[in-house]
Amino acid sequence: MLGNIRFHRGWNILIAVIVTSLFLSGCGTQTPKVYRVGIVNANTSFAVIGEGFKAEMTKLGYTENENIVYIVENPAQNPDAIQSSVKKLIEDDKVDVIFGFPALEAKALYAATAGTNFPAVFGYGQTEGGNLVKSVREPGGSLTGVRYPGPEMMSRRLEMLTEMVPTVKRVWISYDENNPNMPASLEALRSTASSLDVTLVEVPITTIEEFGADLEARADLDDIGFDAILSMPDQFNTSADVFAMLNEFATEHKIPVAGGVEFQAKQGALFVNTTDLTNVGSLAAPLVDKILKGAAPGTIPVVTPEQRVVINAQVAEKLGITIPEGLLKMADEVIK
Amino acid sequence: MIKTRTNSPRRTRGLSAILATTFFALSVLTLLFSGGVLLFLNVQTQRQAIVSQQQVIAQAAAGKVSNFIQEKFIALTTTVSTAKLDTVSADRKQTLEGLMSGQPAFRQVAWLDAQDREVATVSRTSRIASGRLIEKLDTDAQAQVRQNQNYISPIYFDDVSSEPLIVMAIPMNDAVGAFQGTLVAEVNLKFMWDVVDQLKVGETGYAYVVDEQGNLIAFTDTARVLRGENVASISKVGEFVRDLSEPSGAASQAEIYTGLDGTTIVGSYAPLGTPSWAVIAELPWQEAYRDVIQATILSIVVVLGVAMAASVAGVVMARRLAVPLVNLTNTAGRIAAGEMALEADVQGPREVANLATAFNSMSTSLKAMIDKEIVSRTVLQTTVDLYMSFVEKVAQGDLAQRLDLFAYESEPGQAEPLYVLGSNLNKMVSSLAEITDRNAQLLAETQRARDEAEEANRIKSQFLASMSHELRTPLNAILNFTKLLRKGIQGPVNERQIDTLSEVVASSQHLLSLINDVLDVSKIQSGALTLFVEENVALQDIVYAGARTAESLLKDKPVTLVKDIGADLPLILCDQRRVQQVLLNLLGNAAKFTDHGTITLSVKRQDDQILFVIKDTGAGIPKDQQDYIFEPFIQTETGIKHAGGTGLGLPISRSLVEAHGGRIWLESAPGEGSTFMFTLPIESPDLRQQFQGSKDLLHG
Repeated sequence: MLGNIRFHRGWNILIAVIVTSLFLSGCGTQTPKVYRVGIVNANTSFAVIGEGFKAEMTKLGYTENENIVYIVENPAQNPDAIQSSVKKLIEDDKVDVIFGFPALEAKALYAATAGTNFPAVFGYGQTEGGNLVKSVREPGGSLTGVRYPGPEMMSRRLEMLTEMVPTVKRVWISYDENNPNMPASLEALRSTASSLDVTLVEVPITTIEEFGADLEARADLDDIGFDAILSMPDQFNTSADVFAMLNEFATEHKIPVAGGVEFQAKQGALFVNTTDLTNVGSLAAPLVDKILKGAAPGTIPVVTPEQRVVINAQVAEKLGITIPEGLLKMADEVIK
Repeated sequence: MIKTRTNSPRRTRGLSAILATTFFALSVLTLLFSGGVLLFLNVQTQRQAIVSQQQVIAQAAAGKVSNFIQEKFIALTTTVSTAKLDTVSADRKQTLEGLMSGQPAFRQVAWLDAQDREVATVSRTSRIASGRLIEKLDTDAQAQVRQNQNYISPIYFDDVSSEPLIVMAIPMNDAVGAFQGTLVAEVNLKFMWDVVDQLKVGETGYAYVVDEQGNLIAFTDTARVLRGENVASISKVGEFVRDLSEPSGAASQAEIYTGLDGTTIVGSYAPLGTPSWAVIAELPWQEAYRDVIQATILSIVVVLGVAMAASVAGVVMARRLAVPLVNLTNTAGRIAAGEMALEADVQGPREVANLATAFNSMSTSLKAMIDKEIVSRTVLQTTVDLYMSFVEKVAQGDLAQRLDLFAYESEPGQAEPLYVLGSNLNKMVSSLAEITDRNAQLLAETQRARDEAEEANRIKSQFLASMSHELRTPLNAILNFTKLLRKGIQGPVNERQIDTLSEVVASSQHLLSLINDVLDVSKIQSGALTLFVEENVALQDIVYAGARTAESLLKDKPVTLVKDIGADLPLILCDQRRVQQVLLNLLGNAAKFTDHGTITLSVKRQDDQILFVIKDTGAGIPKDQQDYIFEPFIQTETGIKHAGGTGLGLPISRSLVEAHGGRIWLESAPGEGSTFMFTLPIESPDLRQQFQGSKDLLHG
């Protein structure tokens, strides 16, 4: 008789556990978290970094509007505006992490996150001469990112210029003296110039209007005072309008321009040594990914992007310059 | 001294519990054993597959890293073999630029002459930033190269970018093998990191590279590499470092240990050979043993499922077996308590049902024995009481005392004499033995009288049968000759003579019918009635013939015959003449006693028999007369009022129906008509036997 057979208590527990387990096994799905990532970019010449970043994030499994939302801020190119955007992203938009690029944005991120645990990643921030990170191996704090290799790029730019045009002994540079990247780059450049027995004709400025003033003053002189122009890493030199003015002057006076942004090679620079900006964004994505997965930014080493050389053989020909075969072989791209 | 053993009460388990537990235990043990064996074999196979897979993964990863290094050495060696060693500085630089252009991992290369002076150098980065290569080649390295050996430096990191770097150097010998210089390259291992990054170890596994001291030199988590972490404490790394003295060149056996990420993994290492590095591939054990885990879970679920099913089956079987036994036990208990009329339900499996049947049989026998014993004791006691009373009264001088008949009821309503003792004092009875003898004598006389009566009845029936036969023969002659006379065959007869002859024919036919009935009754009573059984008899023919006859009887009455004859009437085994006789008798009675209304004839199949129903709207039969209308020579008052009829039709019908194995009965009430019903079996062993007898008779 069933009524006379009573299951032992242990049986009841066992059956309950099995049934519960089977039930729960079908209830394990959870809504995936949607991450909020802030992007700050004032200098839109570097917008391609953001594109490279998003593309790489997609490869890492983040799909926009599904499991990640990007809140993009494009403030004016001044520290206060950038600072406000960063503050808005942190306080109003409640983002999980901020990715900012290039230099001014990196500095603003450092200012906003210093002493806090709020994670941020900079793109194209210069680590030398500044205080963005404690060291590239162990950044410390709550900031890590993709380094702007300014000093060695500036040195290499000058080296390449002298290798291509050994007669160059005076090089004109004009730069924003307030740009955070500038001190370290200048230091490396001056050191290299000294070792190469090259004189730097330095024109420090603070506004874009001042940029052309020195060139205008020299335009009508018999000796303009320099043999080549070297582009510096600031927002003035990387501006298309400024480069157009520089290129016009250089063409008129048949002097080479060593550029630092890829478009300059196509628009008249003898060569540019730069970094692949898309690659900068791609390198930043794994850092953000690690932070979203719980890693502390201070423990994630800063990464350095690969350098890229583009030589304009047409310009060389117009200037009567013979580019060494070895440099042409080592160039990533030669415009013929 | 006699020892007595007392069985102490022991708590026993019920049959149901034993069966359920046994079923559960057997099924679970069997499943556990077979499942365990299968699981063990599966685990062994999977483990072997995992070990092999891990070794392959580690070996493949090591191959990729090794290829990276070897590719660099090949590039250097190729450059040396194609370079003009005695060329000028510009050509040397061009050679180096050619080397650099094809090797993006080379940060800078340098050409050292035989005196280890840098005679040409090409750098991908600023030479100021990267430093002079010759300064990165220490004395030992230079000596190693001079000894015609390739050199690889320990890994180091760029001060500014923290990129991982190594220096590789190979000797530059002339055609006769004389040392002419050194080709040095600084290699950016970030490219090797990319190779390691892209190594796939399962879905969640990872690989990393360690040097001969167990230092981590390539891993996805570059922070750990940049910290210069030594991981020789990890099982496989330590094993690699220890085995360096006797390198096997093959991937190690995979093992489970705590991996680089601190979790339990299945890992294996594969040495690169040159340099003395190793690639360690680690796969979380959950992923490695996923199939085994799933198989284990599945096995457990199956075992539990089957065990539960077995338990339920055990409970169900136990119910089937135990319930009848428990009921039997309860019945036995109640009978023991005095409820002697109880019977156990015969149910459950055959053996248990047989047990219940045997128990009931035993119970019935026991009850009979007890009843008999009670009667015996009662009779004896009563007899003794009577006798003692009689003796006492005689002793007191009451000589007129009589000992009267004493009887008891052997069955309800049936009294049987037991003791008939002396009827007066002159026949003094002195003992119970005399009473018993007297009683036996009395019973014998009663039996003899009964036999004599039965014999007389049989002789009477035989006499009637014989007489009927003897009467019928001359009567048939009278009937036939009268018909001949009426037809004028023996001379012309006038109308008046024809009427008279018709009266003679009618009277003769009535007398013949009467004699036939008497003959049938006689046969029935003497047990001489036999059926002429035929097979495949079509009932519809009989029924419709009977109906036609009835309709002819009703032609002068306002009575309608309604026929409800089943279309599916089967062919049956019967004496069709006798069946027709019964049907005609009942239809004739209905026609006779119904003056208006309807007579309904219904013939239907009911299971394995045929049901005939003859319902009329006649006067009906009172209840008290229904009891004896099937008795011979007895008619109802209505029947008596109607002319004709012998009172033998219904008794004959009943005998004929019963001779077929059927049953006949009626339902009637005064003023509501009568319904006579009878059944006939479609087939029965007895009829089949009679059919065989009829056939034998026909075929002699």
